[in-house]
Amino acid sequence: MKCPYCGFDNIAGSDTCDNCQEDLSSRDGISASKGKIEKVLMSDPISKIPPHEATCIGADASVLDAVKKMNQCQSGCVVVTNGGDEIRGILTERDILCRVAGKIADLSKTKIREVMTANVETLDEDDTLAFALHKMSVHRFRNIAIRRAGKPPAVVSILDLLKYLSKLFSEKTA
Amino acid sequence: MRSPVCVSKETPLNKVISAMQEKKRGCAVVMEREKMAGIFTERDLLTRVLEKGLPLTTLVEKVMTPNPDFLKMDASIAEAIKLMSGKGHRHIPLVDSEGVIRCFVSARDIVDYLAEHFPYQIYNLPPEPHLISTAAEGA
Repeated sequence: MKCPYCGFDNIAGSDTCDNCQEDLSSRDGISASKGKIEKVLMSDPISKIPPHEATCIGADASVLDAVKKMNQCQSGCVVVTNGGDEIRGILTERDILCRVAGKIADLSKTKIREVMTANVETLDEDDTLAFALHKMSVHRFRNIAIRRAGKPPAVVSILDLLKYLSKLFSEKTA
Repeated sequence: MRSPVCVSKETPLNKVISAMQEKKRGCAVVMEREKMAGIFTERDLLTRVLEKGLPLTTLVEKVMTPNPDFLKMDASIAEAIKLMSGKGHRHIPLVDSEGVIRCFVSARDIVDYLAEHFPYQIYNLPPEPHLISTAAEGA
């Protein structure tokens, strides 16, 4: 049974879609209320947003180095890695405002590991845009680190997502 | 939309930063005689203050972005998205018909607005994508 929302081929008789969790038990009103944006959210992977390679840095680098990197790359965050692809944490502009500015005098002597957000929540590049929107709206993240198989991590920012969705809206209203 | 942190041009940075931390805002609107003279954002903090090692006793007028872009209160969401996408702004002040700042809209406000329009798709998701079963349960 093909899901009318995301196109996933479910086992016949499924009550909900195994991919997007939409209710398949009652099909009333589906076509009238569902549109392109919903379908895109539930089926387009995050990798559809133009890839934005993360600015990576080690946990023992100084906060000043992180600030310089963020400014140089015009990025709202740095992803803290072990030197490879493993993500250890994230340091964002908001972390710097709340944990560094006015609280730490010498940024060159403070290590990133002391102020970063550890246990960072990440997504895979194959996860759908709905998960990115969920994390940004419900979990209040402005930047999400994206794991990519065999590649350095990427970052999707709230502005990246907004730009992508705004194109869909303009196509829809055109 | 949220109320802005408003400070005068002569406010030192340590007080501006404290106000932003306390109210959890990513920007402060800098006022001069009841009119908006500039905006000071998290980005300004990184590029103009912390990297250069400026003391936090510096007045905000020295590091603010003067004459920021703004929208009127009745501007459409599409206009806000266009301004944010085009110029990379995350915060846009909204002014009334007399040019007085009333509030600001952030990229997060717009994402929240979008999420509220697709509640079934956004709010009903499991906390982690891998929690969605990819195969039918049972024998």
